[in-house]
Amino acid sequence: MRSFIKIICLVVLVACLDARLTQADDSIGAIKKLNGAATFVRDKTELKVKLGDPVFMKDVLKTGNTGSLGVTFKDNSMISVGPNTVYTIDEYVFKPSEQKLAFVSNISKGTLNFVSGSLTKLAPDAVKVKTPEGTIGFRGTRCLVKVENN
Amino acid sequence: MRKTLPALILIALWFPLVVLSCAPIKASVPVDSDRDGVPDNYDYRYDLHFTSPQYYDKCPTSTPMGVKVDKHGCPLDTDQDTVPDYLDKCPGTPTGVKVDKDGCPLDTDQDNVPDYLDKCPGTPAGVKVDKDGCPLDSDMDDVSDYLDKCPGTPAGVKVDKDGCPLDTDKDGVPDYLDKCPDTPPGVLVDQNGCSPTARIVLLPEPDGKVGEISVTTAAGSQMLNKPWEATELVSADQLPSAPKVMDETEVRKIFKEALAAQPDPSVVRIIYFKSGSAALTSGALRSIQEILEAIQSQQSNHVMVLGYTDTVASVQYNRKLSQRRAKSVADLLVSKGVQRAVIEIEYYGKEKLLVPTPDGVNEPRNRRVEIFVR
Repeated sequence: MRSFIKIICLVVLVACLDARLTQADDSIGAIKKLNGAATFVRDKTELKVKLGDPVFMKDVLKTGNTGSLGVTFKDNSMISVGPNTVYTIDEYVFKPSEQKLAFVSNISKGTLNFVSGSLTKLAPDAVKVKTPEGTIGFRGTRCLVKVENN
Repeated sequence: MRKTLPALILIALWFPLVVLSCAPIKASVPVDSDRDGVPDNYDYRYDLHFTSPQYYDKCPTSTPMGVKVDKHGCPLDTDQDTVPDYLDKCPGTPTGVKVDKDGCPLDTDQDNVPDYLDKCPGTPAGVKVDKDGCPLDSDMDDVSDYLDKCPGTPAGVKVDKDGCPLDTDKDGVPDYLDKCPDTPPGVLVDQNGCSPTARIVLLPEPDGKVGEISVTTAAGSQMLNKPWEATELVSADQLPSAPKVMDETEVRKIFKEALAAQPDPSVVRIIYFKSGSAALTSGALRSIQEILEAIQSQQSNHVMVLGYTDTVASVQYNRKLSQRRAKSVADLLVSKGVQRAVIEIEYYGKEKLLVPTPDGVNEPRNRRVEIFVR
C-alpha cells in the first residue's frame, strides 16, 4: 500500500513538474527591452509588463504615450514597438522537427519594427504581419510598420 | 376866296415835300451777322413774307461760317445731345444719354463701354471688360479674372472669394478632388486628399543586403525590394500606393522609439568536440567566457544549448552523445553562476548537420554544441 502511494505521489510530482516545464515551453519569447509603461492583455486580464517577462501566443502588447518594448522570439525573430501601439500575436509555432511553423501577428495602431528570424527562412509564407487595411508577407527581411489611428 | 387859294397851293406844294422828306425805306437785306440765312432780329418792315416773329436767329453771332442751321438759326444738333453736330464727335447718341463736351456718351470708369451700356460701372482702371463693360471672368467662376487667384477653375467647381476651389478640410486638396473630405488638421495627404492609414518600410540588413516584402489588400499587392522603400495603405479596397524610396533620416525619425527598443541580437557560439567525446576542450573555454559575458550584459533569462554529432555511429548512440555534450556545456555554465532554469537543452543526434555528409563520415564541424543567448 505504502509503495503504491509512493508511486502515485511520484507520478503526481512528475506530472506537476511536467506541467511547469510545459508552461515554460508555451512561452514563445521574452521581453528583452522595456522603456516607459506597457501592458499585456492575456486571458482578458491586463498585466503590467516587466523586463524579462515571457511572451505567449495570443498576447496583446500595449504601450502608452512614452512606452516602447522589444521582444525576442524562440526562432530569433525580433519585434519592437514604439509608443501608443497595440500589437497582438495571433499565432506562433516554432517546431521545425515537426514541420510546424507559423508566425502571424497584428498591429492595429502604433509603430512596429519587425526583424525576421528562422521562421521566415524556413517557412516564409507562414510569417505575416497584419494591419487594419492590408497584410505584409516576408521573404527573409526586416520592415517597419506605422498604423495611424484615424 | 382869294385868301384860301394861296393856302391850298402852299399845302399842295408842301405835302409832297413832307412826303419826300420821310426817310426813304432802304430795301437792303435784313441783318444776318452770322450769314446763316436767318435774320438776326425781327423787324416788321423787313418782314416781307409775313413770317412769324419767332423765326429769327436765336443764335445770331455764335454760328461759325458754313455750319448748317435749323429754322432758328442755330447749328443743327441732330442727336439732340446739346452738342451741335459740327462739334459732335459721336453723332447719333441715343436720346437721354449724358454726353461729354465732345458729344460722346460718358464712360466714367474708362473701360471703353459707355455708362449707359455699362452693366458694371466702376470697373478698376486697366481691367479688361466684356461687351457689357464687366470684368472678364474666363473660367466663369463668378470671380473676375483680375481678382481670380486661381484662373482656369474647372466648370461647376465652387470657389472662395479669391476664385480658388474650396478646400473645406484645408488639406491642400480641393473639395472637388478630395476623396477623404474630413481629414483632421495637420495631417499630410496624398493627391486624393487622403491620409494613409498605414505605412510599411523595407529595411536593409546590417550588411546592406535587402530581401523582399509584399503588402496585400483586397485590391491587390505591392512588392518592396529596395532599402528604405515604402508603400502606404489608404483603405482595404484600394491598392497599396506605388513604392517610393524614403529618406533614411526621416524613417529613423518616425520610427525612433520602435527602433531603439529593438532587442540586442542573440549571441551565438559553437563549441566543438572530439569524436565520441563530450569533454570540453581548452579551446571551448574562450567561447564559454563570451557566452557568460553576454548573459550578464543582456540580463538574459533564456539560454539555448543544442547538442549535435557527426554521422559516425548509430542514431541511438549519437542521440545520447549529443545529449551528453549539451549537458556538459550546461553544467559548466551553471558552475559559473548561470541559473539552471534559464538554460534550455535540446539535442538532435546526427540530425541537422551543419555540414551535410553521407552517413558514417567523420566531420569535426558537425560534432558541436550551439549556444544561443537570448
